[in-house]
Amino acid sequence: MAKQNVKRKRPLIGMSYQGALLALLVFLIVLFGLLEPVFFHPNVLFNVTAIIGEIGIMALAMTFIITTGGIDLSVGYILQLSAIVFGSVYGSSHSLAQAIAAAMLCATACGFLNGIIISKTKIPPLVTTLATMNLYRGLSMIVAGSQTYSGFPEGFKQISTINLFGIVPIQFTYFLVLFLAFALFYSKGTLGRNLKGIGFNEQVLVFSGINTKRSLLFIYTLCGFMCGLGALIYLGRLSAATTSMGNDLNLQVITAVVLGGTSIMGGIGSVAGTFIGVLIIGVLRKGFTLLNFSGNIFNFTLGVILIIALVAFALLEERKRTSQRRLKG
Amino acid sequence: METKTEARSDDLVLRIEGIYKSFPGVNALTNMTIDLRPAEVHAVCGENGAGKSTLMKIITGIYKPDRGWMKLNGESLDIDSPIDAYSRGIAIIFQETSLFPDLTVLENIFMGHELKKPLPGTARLISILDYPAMRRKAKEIFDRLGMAVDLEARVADLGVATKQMVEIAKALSFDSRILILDEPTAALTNKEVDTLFETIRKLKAHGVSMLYISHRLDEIFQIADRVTVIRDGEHINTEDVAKVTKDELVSWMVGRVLTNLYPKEEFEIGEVVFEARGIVQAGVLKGIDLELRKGEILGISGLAGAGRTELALALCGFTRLDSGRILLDGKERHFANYRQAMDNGIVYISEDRQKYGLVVPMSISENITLPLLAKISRGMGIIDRAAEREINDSYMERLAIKAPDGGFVVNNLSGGNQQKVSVAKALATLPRILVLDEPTRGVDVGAKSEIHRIISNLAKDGKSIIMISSDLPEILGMSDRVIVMKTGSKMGELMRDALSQERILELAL
Repeated sequence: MAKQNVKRKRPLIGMSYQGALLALLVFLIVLFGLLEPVFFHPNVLFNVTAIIGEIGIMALAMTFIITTGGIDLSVGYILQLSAIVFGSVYGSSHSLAQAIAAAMLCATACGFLNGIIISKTKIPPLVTTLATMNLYRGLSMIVAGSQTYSGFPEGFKQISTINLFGIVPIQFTYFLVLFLAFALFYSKGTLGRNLKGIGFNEQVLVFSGINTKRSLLFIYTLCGFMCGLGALIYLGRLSAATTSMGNDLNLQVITAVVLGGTSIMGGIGSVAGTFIGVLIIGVLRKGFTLLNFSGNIFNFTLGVILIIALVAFALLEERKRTSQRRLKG
Repeated sequence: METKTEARSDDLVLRIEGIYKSFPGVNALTNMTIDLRPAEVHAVCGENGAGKSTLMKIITGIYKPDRGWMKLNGESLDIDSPIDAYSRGIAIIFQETSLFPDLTVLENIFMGHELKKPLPGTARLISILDYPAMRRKAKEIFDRLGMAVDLEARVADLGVATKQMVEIAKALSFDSRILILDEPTAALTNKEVDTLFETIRKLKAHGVSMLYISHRLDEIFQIADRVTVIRDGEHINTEDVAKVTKDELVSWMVGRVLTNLYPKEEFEIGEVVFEARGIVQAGVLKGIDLELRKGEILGISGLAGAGRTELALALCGFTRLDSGRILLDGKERHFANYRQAMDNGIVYISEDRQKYGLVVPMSISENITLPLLAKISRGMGIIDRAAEREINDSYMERLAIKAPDGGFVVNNLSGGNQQKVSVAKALATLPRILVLDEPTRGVDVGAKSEIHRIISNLAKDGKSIIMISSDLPEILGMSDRVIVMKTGSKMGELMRDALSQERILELAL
């Protein structure tokens, strides 16, 4: 019996898929370059890495969450709320330290609230974060109204306006460093192992003496924290906080993660895939801007990509399962 | 054996001949034969795993037989699905009711076959539910059962016995002529049982034939006309209830000659290491005492639903105790969760590998090290791959797990090898006490004796083992001592030299 089943582990999402993803990335760059030659200019290419800082950082945490079979729809609005909190606290105190602390605290608290509901109750993450998303959005509207907070000090703006070596945007290095850390914990850490286990079958982990609730609480809180970081980077770049910030970010973050090969069903995922997925989103956004496509077309395209990725993975998963059934006779 | 009481075959309502059904590695039914006369109650009994459920699932179209045929009222019968069975007048009342708790009695009875009428003025294009007709029919059915049930009551608010009546009413709403009752009294009080029997007698008077599955021999004598005993998937005997004694039934159920399949070794048993005193969980466990010695294999026997798994979960800290004490080496311990039990050297291996035991899409080594990730990781929670490989390789070798290496996905292993991975996962926590729940369920004969040898060796190494099993030969072959449970109570304790299938069944039934 066992002999005919000799098969290496996890053939589903290996390097081959990420290779294909890289090829897609290169294809898109070439395509946009041919349509609009200025795209090939190093400054433009590096600008792609500047605009993905915040979604990249959030997508790393989202990869952890989706691996458990969960999702966080509130990320864009946690970012928005903590940006508003930053603006409001800075406006009244003129203390950068206080504003940063308040923004980070607010973002982390939002993530903690998501995590506590999801880990302590049986309410699905989709529904929980759909509710908290509106809670956070409503809160930032109440605090800010139609107000725009600006006039942040030059020193603060530098956190996302400096270019290293004259060309590499500094927020790309934040993303890169965090990416390496997340990839390490994901593929070599006990945390990553637990998250994949939760995604496949949480009961087994409970029956292995593992506190899965603690892991879930941790990653949703971490996700909130990362949204706070995203908010700071975003603010540094825009130098103004409004309630329109972050509105479209949920879609971008989730699309990057799913496109990167993390299964929405949980258990399977790749931080490296998310990294490439985020780059693809960035290239699309930059390319569309250069070609004068509207933001609506961009969102529409992301929706199409997300649907294609979801359906493709679902079909793959289904085929894998039926072939296994056949093997078992 | 042939049926002693021949009835003319054209009299039979249902006739089942030569049914075979096998699952990978198991012959669930071999040449099964049973028949049902008009307006009779035919009891079917046998141990856990004798094949009763498989037989019922074939009659109701959930499984397809590999060979054999069925006849309904003399006509060949081929059932595709439970709905098909219903439409031919065969209905099954399961142990656990299949009602929708939030719907009313009436809605439940007609779920899926609601009575409809055309909406006036729509030229029969649109039909709507005909509540008055459904109410009339439901009332008529309950009248026939001699019961008054509020048709508008929410099912969740009803007692177990009433739910069962609703279930029966639902079956009758299909004009069922054959009713299969699967352990119908399992959750009923004595008074409710009397009511149920009254109903059964009324149904009989209306010409309904029933297959009555039960462990409880006393009931069979009260209510059944004939009884069929099945064992290991085979028909053993069918007899008029008036002509058999309880002892005869038990001997038919046991029957089997014990083969010395299990390499049970005799060795010194040490001092008491684990004690449980007066373990109570409301409605589940009713004051269980047990003690376990070093190097001992303590078997826990009992029928399905006796509370054996519940006891194991309570002892291992998965569930809360309402009262009772757990002592380890004479010192009282409280396990707030399973992790604390594990840290005290107690490990539990679930009966359901796929659901609770192993993350089947993950690799062997990832599964084995799941409970000890904290121990094999360095600072910041990074897993020490070398340590992981070392643990994996040593257990794969020790338990002879047949796979190329630890990176192999558990899903692609045979049942026996999967069970060995479960055992490896438990052993890697370095336990002193192992609680094994059905350790050889769903594994083939070869792997079974291998697992038995592993268990024996563990006991020899001084580990203490609690082994829950529905497999009587396994209990008899492996245990030093056996506790028999029934409906949450400990019915008795038997030492190895006093063990016999008859003694165990007497206590368990």
